[in-house]
Amino acid sequence: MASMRARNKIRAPRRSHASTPTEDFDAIWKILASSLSGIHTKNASSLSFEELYRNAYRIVTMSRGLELYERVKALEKDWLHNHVRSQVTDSILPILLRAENGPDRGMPVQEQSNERRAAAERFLSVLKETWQDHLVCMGMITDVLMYMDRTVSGDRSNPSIFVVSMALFRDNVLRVPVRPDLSITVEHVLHSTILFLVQLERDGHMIDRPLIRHCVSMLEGLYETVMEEETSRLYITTFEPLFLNASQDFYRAEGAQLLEEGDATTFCRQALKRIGEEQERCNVTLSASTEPKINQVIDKELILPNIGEVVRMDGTGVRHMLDQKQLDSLRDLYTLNARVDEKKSVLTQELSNRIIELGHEINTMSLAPPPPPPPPPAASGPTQNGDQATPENGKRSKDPKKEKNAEKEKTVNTQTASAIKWVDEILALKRQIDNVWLHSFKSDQTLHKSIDDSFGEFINRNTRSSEFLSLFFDENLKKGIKGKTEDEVDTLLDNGILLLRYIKDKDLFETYYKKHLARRLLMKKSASMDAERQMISKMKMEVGNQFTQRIESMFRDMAISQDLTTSYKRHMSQTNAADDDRPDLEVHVLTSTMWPMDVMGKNKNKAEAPPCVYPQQIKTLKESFERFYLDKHSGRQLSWQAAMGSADIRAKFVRSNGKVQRYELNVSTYMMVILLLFNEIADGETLTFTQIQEQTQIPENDLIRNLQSLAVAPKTRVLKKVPMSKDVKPTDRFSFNHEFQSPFVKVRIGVVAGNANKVESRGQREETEKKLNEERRHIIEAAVVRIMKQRKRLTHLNLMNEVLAQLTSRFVPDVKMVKQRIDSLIDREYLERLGDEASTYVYLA
Amino acid sequence: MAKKKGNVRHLREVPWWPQESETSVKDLSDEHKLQNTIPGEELFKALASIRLDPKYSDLTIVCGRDEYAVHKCIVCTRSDFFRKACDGNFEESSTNRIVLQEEPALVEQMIEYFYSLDYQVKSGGYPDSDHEITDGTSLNEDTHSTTTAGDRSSQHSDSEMDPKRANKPKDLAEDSTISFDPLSFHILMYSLADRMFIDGLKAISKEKVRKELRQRLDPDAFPQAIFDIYNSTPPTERGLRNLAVNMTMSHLTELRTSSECSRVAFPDRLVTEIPQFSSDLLVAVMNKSVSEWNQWG
Repeated sequence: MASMRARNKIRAPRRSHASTPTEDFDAIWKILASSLSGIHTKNASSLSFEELYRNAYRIVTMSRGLELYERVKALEKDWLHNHVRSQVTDSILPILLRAENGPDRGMPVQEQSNERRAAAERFLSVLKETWQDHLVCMGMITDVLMYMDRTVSGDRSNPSIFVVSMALFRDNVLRVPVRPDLSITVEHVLHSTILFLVQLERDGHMIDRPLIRHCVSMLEGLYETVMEEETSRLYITTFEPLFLNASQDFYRAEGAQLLEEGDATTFCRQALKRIGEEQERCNVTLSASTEPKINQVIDKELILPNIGEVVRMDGTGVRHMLDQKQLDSLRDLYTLNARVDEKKSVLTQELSNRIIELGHEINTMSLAPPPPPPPPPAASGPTQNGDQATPENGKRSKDPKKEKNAEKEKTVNTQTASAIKWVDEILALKRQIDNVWLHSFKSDQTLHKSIDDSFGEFINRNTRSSEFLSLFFDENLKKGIKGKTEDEVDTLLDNGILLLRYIKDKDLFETYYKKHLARRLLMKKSASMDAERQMISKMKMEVGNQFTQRIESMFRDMAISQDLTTSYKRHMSQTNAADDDRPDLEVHVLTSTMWPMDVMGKNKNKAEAPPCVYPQQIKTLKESFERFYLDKHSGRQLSWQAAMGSADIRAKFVRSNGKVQRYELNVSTYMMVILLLFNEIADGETLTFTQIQEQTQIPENDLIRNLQSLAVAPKTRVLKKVPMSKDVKPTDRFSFNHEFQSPFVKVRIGVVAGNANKVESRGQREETEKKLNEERRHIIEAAVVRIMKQRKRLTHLNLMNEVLAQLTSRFVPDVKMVKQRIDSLIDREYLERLGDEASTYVYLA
Repeated sequence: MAKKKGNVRHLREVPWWPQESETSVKDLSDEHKLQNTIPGEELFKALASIRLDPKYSDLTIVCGRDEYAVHKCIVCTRSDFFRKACDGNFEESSTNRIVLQEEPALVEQMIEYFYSLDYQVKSGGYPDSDHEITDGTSLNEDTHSTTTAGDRSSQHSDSEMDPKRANKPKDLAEDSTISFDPLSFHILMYSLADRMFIDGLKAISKEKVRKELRQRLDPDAFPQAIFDIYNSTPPTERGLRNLAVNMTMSHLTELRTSSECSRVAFPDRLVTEIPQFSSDLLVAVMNKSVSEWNQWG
């Protein structure tokens, strides 16, 4: 090795640092101690860090680090005890102690609050100064003793000198009696002082927040033990519980006081203001970690015990807010309720009550006889048939006028109007509540469900809701949508569909809708086929395929009929080339099961009305078409529904001066049959009611109504009647009125009160319900059989549940009815009860 | 200034740095330059260029007659000692001057470490100290294979331009005639790194001690190294002490065997002279024996 050569080595570092036993520990300590004191007296800037560090290092290399540690500890304790403590205790004025002695926080502190406040702020600033000095000095001292810390506390056997000094501050500055003769410590005064200032702020005064924040951060920086666990911060162990207790008392009292004031809006506003204040207080003045806890206090003391009363508060609560559309107040209330109750039950309950209440008002208004103009008889509804009550006279006198107006298609039957008003008002209410929901309730799902339930509740409580809704559609599809844009129509229909969603008995609605639709289609009253189809697709989306199937087949029948008419016309022009006298025939062939029964001419007893006797000309035409049709579709049976038809006839009126006036009359099929009778008799001759009835076989009710249109209605008096009265009696005599006058060439003669879609009379409704129940019985049976066929064996309860589940989209089945159907099926041996278990059913193939 | 210039040139000689000699700069197209630029190298270059450059310097380290213009961002981030000296409210924080009572050669190499992540055993700079150059070269071949012999010679020419460095030999001449033993130098560097809280330098110097000691288990160097190790750091600092004990344990036979021309490397007197070493060694021997007994049941 080349380096084996002798050399002189330089070991300067060892000479300057490495310890020699003779070096004087006390001498070095003396230098260090005076420097550390210099740091405390803020003379550090003249001290060399390097020198202090080097001295501390030297002591450590003497293996006397622990001794140094203990000496520094003693020095710090001495400093805190003899200098710092008195600074702090001297800053505590007697007024702060007085407040501490009298723990009566509720006493009016106002008069002395200014003085106390000044004292408080003085005390806190001294404490803050002291704490910050301590932090800075200890930081510097720790830096100097860095090497010592590493050897003494590196293995965790001793807390670092910094941690020790923090504990020293706690024990020698905070936890010492304020005066030797008192048991109250500086810490106690600190707590009560901060609480006092917080109370001042709650009362609306400005306080020095940063100052408090400094003192709080001191409490956060000090721990109960030298282990410094998170939970042993003085803030958490001492101050926070006191603060929460004081807050609890405060908010309990505030809640009681606000309730006494009795204004819900004020309560909500104040509560929310407090929540905001506390949040700010935690973030700015105290500690953010307190926020969830103080929120709990507010919830528990201020909101939870009072919210129910606030919601129901007379004259200012939810009810009032809804009526006055106080969206902001409602939002406040919602926010508060949501804090303490995930379900918002009190608010939900009150909202639901109010909706149902308002809904009831709407229901009652629509069912009650609407107030005049129309005199009371008209209010009971111009009856269509089977109503031969005495006030006929008065009623009939109204109807012709209506017919007159009906030509302008303006007047709507008053009860139909109230049905539409019912729908409109519900929609208005829905809009209002939806608006509240959107703006005040943050589109809360729980509330949405409750709102829906409430609407469903009162809508279904109105037994005529299905009918009313169908009338609403009928009215709009006939007239309402005229002149509206596509979007408007869309919205209108959507609104209706919205209500349909709430209706439980969808089958009942279907019945009405079909009935109204049939009339719209056959009488060509529908304003727009596009809108009709749109409506169907909307219903399909909302209720399902099954629901619209039959309605769609009605449309199909109409389309097929149109083709049929055309091809029949072509067929006739080919076979009988020139027969100008032959009337044109436009025919609607309807599938009897798909269309409403009353359209199909079936009366209550389900027997078909006897066909009327057609004049020869028409009879020929009818037979010709029957041949044509049955040729194409053999085995089908056609039955003609005269009551639903209409005819255009040209009539010649010979005036007394010999002039001839021609009019084109649009009349019902029955009217045509009646009028053609007068072709068979000489001018001026008369026919009695009985004669007409005998010759035509038109059912009496229809005959009366048609004759009323022809002979009584003032503008369409094609026939003269003797005697001239509003009533039609079997003995009345009719003759052709050659003096008939009309400003128009084309005259439409409507049938009195028969073809307008109106609210049903009580009798009709019972009829409809009866039919409906019959239909339901079949549907229920079908469902039971379907389920049992699949499951083979089911308990009664399960079967009931499945049946209900299957059917609720159409209607809510009556449990009793389901039971009856099951019994009936057992009787007919589709099912049987399982031997010993009476509650289980078995399917019989 | 002159010092800075010399150092830049010195550091540039690490092969993977692009050559910036007057001739080559011209030849290099921009593209070529890009290809030769490696991001990490860019940072190294920057560090080399600011080393001891007073332009951005915000701190001066003083040691003996030497003054070093350094950067807090380089120095304070690596050493708790410098950080606390600068951040505290002591004299140093306002003057931005830190006076160190240390061996100047060690301080110079510590600063070298701050900027280049390595250091050399300081040469005394005597032109006639051939053995030192040989020594340094052999060390460099061990620890820093990228440094070439040319490097050494350039360092010598540097010293001519550096007045401070030129002064140094005179200082040293006062109490010694020649320069440092590398083993001793590394041990003292370790002690300095420990005192200054520079973890990286501690690790490097410890590694250098290990390699050097392994080569020097002779009667001259070994007792001296043990003496240095046990006197340069406080007893709680175990790094080098453990190293010394382990090394002794694993080479005990070699250390205790005398050859015909020399004494034993580990003489008995060492046990008496350095009781702390003896106690550490005793513990190690006991542990070893116990574990061996356990192994044999």
